Amino acid sequence: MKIPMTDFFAFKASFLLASLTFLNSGSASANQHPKTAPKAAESSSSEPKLEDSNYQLHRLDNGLEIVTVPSSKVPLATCVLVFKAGAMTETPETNGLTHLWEHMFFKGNARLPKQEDFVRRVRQLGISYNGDTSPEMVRYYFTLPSVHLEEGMQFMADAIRTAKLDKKELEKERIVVLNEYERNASDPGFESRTLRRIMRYGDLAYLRDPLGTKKTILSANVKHLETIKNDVFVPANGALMISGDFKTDKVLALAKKYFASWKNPKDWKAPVRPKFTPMTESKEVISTHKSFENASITHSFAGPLVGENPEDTYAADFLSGLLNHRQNQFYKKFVESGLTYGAHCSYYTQGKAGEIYLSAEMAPQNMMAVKDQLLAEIPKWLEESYFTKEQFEDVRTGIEISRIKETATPSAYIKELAFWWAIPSFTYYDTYNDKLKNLTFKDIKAYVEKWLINKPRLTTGLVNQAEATKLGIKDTGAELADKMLKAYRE
Amino acid sequence: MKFTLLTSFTMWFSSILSYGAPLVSEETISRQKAATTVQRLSNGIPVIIRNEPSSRIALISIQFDYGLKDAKLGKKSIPTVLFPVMSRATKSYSKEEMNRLQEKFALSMGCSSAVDNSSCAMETVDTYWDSTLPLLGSVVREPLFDPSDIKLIADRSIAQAKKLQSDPEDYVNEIANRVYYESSHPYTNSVADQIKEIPTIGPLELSKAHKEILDASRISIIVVSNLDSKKIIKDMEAQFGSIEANVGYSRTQINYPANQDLGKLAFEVRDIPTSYIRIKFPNPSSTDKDAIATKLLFDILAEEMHTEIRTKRGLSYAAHAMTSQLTIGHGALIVSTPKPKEVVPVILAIIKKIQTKPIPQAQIDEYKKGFATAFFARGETHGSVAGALSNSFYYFNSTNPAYDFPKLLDQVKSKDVMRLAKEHLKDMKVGIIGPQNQFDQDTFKGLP
Repeated sequence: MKIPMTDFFAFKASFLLASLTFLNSGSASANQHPKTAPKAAESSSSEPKLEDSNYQLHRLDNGLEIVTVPSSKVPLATCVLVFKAGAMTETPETNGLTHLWEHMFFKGNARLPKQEDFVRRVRQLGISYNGDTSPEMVRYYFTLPSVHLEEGMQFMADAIRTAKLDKKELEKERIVVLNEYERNASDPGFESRTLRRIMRYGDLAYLRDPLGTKKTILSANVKHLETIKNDVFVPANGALMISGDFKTDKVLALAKKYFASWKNPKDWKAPVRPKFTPMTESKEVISTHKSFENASITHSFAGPLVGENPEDTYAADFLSGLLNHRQNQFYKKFVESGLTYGAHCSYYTQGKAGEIYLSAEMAPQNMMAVKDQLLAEIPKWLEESYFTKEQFEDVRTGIEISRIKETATPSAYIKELAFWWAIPSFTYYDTYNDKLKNLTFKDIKAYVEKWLINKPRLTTGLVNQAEATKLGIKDTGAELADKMLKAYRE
Repeated sequence: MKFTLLTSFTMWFSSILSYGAPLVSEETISRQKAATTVQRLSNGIPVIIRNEPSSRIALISIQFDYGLKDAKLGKKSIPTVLFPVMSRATKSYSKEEMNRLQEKFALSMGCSSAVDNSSCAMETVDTYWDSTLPLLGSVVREPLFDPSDIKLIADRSIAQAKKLQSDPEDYVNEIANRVYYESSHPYTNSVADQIKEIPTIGPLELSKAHKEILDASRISIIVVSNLDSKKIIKDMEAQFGSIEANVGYSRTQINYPANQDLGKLAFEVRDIPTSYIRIKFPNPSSTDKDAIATKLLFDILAEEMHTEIRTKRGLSYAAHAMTSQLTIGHGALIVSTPKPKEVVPVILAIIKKIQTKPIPQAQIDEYKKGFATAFFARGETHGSVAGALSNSFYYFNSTNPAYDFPKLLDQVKSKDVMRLAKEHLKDMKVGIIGPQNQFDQDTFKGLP
């Protein structure tokens, strides 16, 4: 099934990504470039020990980073081309067009100008491909038999370097993307999520919305796409990551052969976009929907940015693990009791917008009680007795086990590594597990005090319309949604 | 955790060669077979062991020949409740202790039901095997059907069913089933019936159902790990060797749906911007001699749908095809589009083309490559390896069909694909959910 699935809303929960194993890397290749020095914002982290990692990092002269993870588990190879791009690098006029560009990647290019040729080549090489665009990362990836790796790398180079941004093809793809938008809009939670984004980020909400609006998708032209290409799809802003059954030296030679002559635009610099302003007051809105059968509540708080407050992100992830522990008070009270169908405190590791969600899904009749009780729970996290030593130990064990499991799947692991490369950085990744393992209650307490206690929040709820009427729950979102969504989309 | 799809197998093909060469060498297939053994416990339970020496992950899956197909009308939701409740607490492990140990060992363990069969599975690492296996053994042998656990699982199951109703992409299958399966068919259990039935299921019914499935004649075990096979057998004997066999047991017979009187099309209005269409029709079963060729046919159909509907015409974001091969099989053509009137004629043209215009053999061989990649890529995990072996054993009483898949795929010819397209792309039933203004019954008249 070849449906490029754009994962707009499933931001990476870095706790889930925590579990990546460091295996022996073997000897470094002769072509290996020195490890990039940590960026200023990351300098608080210690220098990664590459010799303990299972990946190797190299860099071509044009700035394109090459990451290799050899594994002979299956005779396949997976290539990921990842860029630090997405909604965060767009403007109001180009919002959603990085994603549209992602679609164009899978159409014709200079070597395979006709769509039929492109499709045939995919078949010939046994390629299984996909791509995704999120607020801070774009990934193109495919898996193919490792014996075809060279042809695959050439295929990847042609697609990114010479994608045919043809007007006729754009017209067709525009309709496909509009249908994708409409599929998203068919989800009962779509309007509620969009409203939450607008309420949280105001005029800058587009920077967190990779799908864009119908208006921007309809007004996209070839020039827009070319601008995006020159802004973000350039070697100095990307990495080529390969896992699978190959010899590293050979792959590095191939990377040079097909990507070294790829030039950056003259004087290229990464796009700089406005920064979000902090939340200053708490807001709350409850929406109803006739097709949404249950109820959900989300309290969102501003969270740490991984580049600015890395230490807090570790505590954020560890806290999520503690609260998910089946013997923790939180889990017992909200999940085990049946009060909700699931309740979580999650943090999404991002570089531009820290987001902490305290959320639950439940039966409509429990919604308002859960809304208040979730908030009432936060101050209790300052009490040491809320978490046991055993729970701390178990979360640490979970991190170890997850590492073993996640590195066992080379095709999935390389995509995860792409996330680490694009958003937190490998420096962060290399020390992540040790940082988490060394956390104590004091760190958790400091995090809760800094980011959650008496902090402004945005509360959004969604509930079945008929049930809301029966229960006397007022839809406070309808009028606001009408006004704000209309303005946003115009 | 439930592994139902016939997925793939690690390290299967050491070489994908040029056209004419086998997808997977005989040597590689033999090596994979050699890493797999089937032994039997004293009570006859087969234990399929796949040795994976390079990984510390240890996975065990206990498969029960019991699923939706076996549940009685009016109580079709028993498997939905039974399996999740089983892993909540047992006679030897209280809920508290079960939770404590699962957290202590970061254990992935759970039971779930499917259509033909169901499973209880556990994934751990080799060093925790001895500490965690007794939990799974207890879950299988002696679950405690505590009323509070039943209530909790029932509420969650109802919420899940309601959630499915909210999602048009999932719910369109439910709509198609209204005209595809007669209400008494063993493979169907509507969401509305689930919501009605689930609260009526209590401890007595679950205990009775558990007694029925705790039958060595219905159970098979799959272990994928780096553990020594003698140790595995010894451990399995200790945990499951005392389960008695019902010698009179025979598997439920399943017939293809008798749906001639149900009408061709079911439509549900929903105020959404796009329509979701699912066209459903009978297909070869997993044991049919044409099963593998049919999988290839559907891979070709999926690409045709994608190319003709999405790539060439921009009529849809998602257009694809799939075949589900169980004791009986069905195929489905799946599209979301705001323009059903334009999409359906394209589907008809695709069907006609595949049925009448032979695809060159070289192109068929190209399709096999892509099919094989996607298929094998799923075999990187112990779970999918176990799923493949489990299905192979369930349907063929042998693990060989799982490994022989590439050889069978190699044999598929262009004429087979055309013949199967003629034989099986017919008797189509349609489910649609979308806005009234996008729907016109006449659009679907020409579907075979």
